[in-house]
Amino acid sequence: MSETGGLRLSLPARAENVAVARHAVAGLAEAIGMSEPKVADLKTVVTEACMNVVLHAYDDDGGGALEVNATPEDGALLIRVRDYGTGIRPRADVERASLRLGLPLIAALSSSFNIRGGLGQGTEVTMRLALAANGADPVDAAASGASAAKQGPDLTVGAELTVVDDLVGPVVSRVVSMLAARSDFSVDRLSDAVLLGDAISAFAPQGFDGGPVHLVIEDGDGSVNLRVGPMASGSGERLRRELEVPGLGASIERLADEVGVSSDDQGEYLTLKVSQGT
Amino acid sequence: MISLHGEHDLNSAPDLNKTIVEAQQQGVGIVLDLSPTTFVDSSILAVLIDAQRNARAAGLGMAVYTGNGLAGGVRRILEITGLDGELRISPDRDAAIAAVREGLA
Repeated sequence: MSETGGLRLSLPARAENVAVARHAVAGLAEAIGMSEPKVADLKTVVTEACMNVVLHAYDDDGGGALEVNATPEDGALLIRVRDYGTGIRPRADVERASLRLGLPLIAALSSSFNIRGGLGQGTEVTMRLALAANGADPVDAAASGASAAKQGPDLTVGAELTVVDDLVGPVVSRVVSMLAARSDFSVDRLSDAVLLGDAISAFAPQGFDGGPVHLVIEDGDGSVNLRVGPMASGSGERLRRELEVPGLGASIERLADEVGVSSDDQGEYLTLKVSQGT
Repeated sequence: MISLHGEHDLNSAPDLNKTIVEAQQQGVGIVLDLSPTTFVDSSILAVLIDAQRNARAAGLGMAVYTGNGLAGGVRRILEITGLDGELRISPDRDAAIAAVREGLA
């Protein structure tokens, strides 16, 4: 089976991160042409599966890893939600109707699903949703590409995503917008954050050499921080210098509070900070 | 009237639950405005179920106001779980308020 473009996301299993996973996967789904009603279903199943991890996988509140993979496959999107905890099990202190509804909702809204794991092995929930409302359309060709993900630099704060280059824009736009909205950004700064996501999207085809792109997104203290890469040597600086936001003529440096370029042995990374403003 | 704007999930469920419980403890009936809501998950549904149960037990009113219609995903999750038949749902703001004033839930 040939590999197709997709998304890998790893983040601490905490309640506030469920929305990050939901928006990242929804952004990918919209970019590959999933129908609107199916995207709504997708948001529900991703949320419910992630919620199971947040509530039931780990003993402590700090949150072990929550991993989400989304891969386009034969007219459908395959989503895997994985943890490395002690397995889904009932816990009296969090026992609510949500626990009883989560898995039935996944069952009702996905065309197939399975749960794998057991005591001490962690749990993996795999779900498949058709892209088209009637489940018949083939996968959009734009979704094809390499998906083998390298482990990026060891930055564990916040969310780490790996996504094939032509899907960077939609995923970044969605996640950044959501985080900015949650951080009580003013309307102007929210719109700047969205424009930044779009700007990176416009740059993606020339900047990322067709390989997987690693994103680190931090949501902290009234700001959203982004680290995007690796890019080919010189691309980070070129993006910083030349990037024009389509239709507006505003530069990336006017939209972000801080713009920087860093590099490691894999290539260059663009770092951006957008804060909520006044 | 409690309006839920945007997306609500596990992260906001405790705050919503607290707001509703505090109102109910003061003997106040509740109209939940879901017209500006774009997403709810099962933890929010659990809050709604609890709120209705508590309202009925206390003889307080509770209704859901939908305005010009629920967002597709919100409507679908209510339908799939059967909550659209359990909750007192009204597209009419005045009717929702009137029902709550009468103590209907």
